[in-house]
Amino acid sequence: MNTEEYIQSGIIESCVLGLASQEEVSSLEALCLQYPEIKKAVQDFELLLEKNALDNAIAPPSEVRNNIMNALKDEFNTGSSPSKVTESSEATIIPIQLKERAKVFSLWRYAAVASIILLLSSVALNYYFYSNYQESKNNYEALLLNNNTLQANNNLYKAKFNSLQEKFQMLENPDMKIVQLRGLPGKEANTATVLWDTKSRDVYLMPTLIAPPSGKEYQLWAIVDGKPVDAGMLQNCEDGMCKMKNMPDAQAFAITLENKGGSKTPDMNSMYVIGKI
Amino acid sequence: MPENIKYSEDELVLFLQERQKNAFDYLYENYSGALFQMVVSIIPDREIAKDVLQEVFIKIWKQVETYDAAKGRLFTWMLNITRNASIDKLRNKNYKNTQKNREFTEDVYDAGGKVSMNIDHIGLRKMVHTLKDEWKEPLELSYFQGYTQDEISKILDLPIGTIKTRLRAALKELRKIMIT
Repeated sequence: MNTEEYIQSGIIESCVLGLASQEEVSSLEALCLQYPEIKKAVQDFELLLEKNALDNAIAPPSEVRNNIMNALKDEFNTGSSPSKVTESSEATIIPIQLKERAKVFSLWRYAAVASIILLLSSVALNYYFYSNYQESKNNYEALLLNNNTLQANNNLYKAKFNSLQEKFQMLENPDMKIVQLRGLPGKEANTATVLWDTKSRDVYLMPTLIAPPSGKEYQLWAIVDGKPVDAGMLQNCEDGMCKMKNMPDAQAFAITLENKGGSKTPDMNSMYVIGKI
Repeated sequence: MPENIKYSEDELVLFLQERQKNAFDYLYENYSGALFQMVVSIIPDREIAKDVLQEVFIKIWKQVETYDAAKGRLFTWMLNITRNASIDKLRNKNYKNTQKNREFTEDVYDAGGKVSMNIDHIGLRKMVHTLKDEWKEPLELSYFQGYTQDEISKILDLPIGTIKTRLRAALKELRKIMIT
């Protein structure tokens, strides 16, 4: 609809002044709900009418007020008589204080609700961040452990690699004599390799022997001119390589199982492996 | 009562409905003059207007529960109560008789449809009387004398449609005057 035309039609003024029919008033009320500009036009005219009446106000004689107050004296909520100044002034102030108090109370109530909401959000956020922190911390610890394991493994491999490299270098050494020691009949599963540096006279042993029974130890012997010479116990071993006693001369090597601490002469019955140079 | 207290219209209505005396004091303090001029513009006799104003305030007090803010401002509602009470008094038999015994202090119309205006008007009525006749007459008769559009149509011997049109046009013009 053309609201401007409606506003200019004079119907608003006739409704406000009480000159319109009930149908016209109802129709205007409905249009006010639908069109804010019509509602505003109605309010504007009401204010204009009010201002006009206030501008032209004529103070009524004071007896009018007294008559009205006498007629209504039993109807007021405060029950105070208008002639009692103190009571009437109290009656003036109390409701406003109550109203102010109600305002303050409702303000506090809103503040309380707001702070509870804030507190709950804060707790929720704290919980969320704490969970995240815990998760990250656990992940970090797992990674740290993993890293340490890797580092340790790395060190292990590095050490093994170095040791293997050393052995490899020994094998590559042209002065190194390699002597295969083979298992005697009934003890074929046992073997050993002797590395003998013909220059430095150092002796190394790489045994592949069954574990000795308790109280017993393996002992290496060098056969020099047909006689066994003690070449040391299999004690000082590292990565399957045992450093043995320095041996100036030998024609063969053999290993026997002896009592713990070793013997001066070998028990020929308990020989496991032997190999000639 | 303290001068500095100012109620919003919503507060005033609420406190009146709660039967607070101070709210009624405030209402009287602030609006009795505006409502009294409305009564006087319809009933120039101050002695009678005084009684009408008294009735009006008692009516406002008794009926404030029925006031619905969705339907308009409190003042509009009070002004309509005032106008209706004043017109009731104007059309009351006793009042007419009293006035006949006095000098004519109120507008009268004769059967010929001429409205004679021989009095100093106040407020809104004064503004209405600055309008040209064809606008002034329906507004004067309906708003200040309480005639229905049917009655005005008979008084002025014009079709009711014409009365409606002129009344609307008069109101448009009245608003313009009120704004300036």
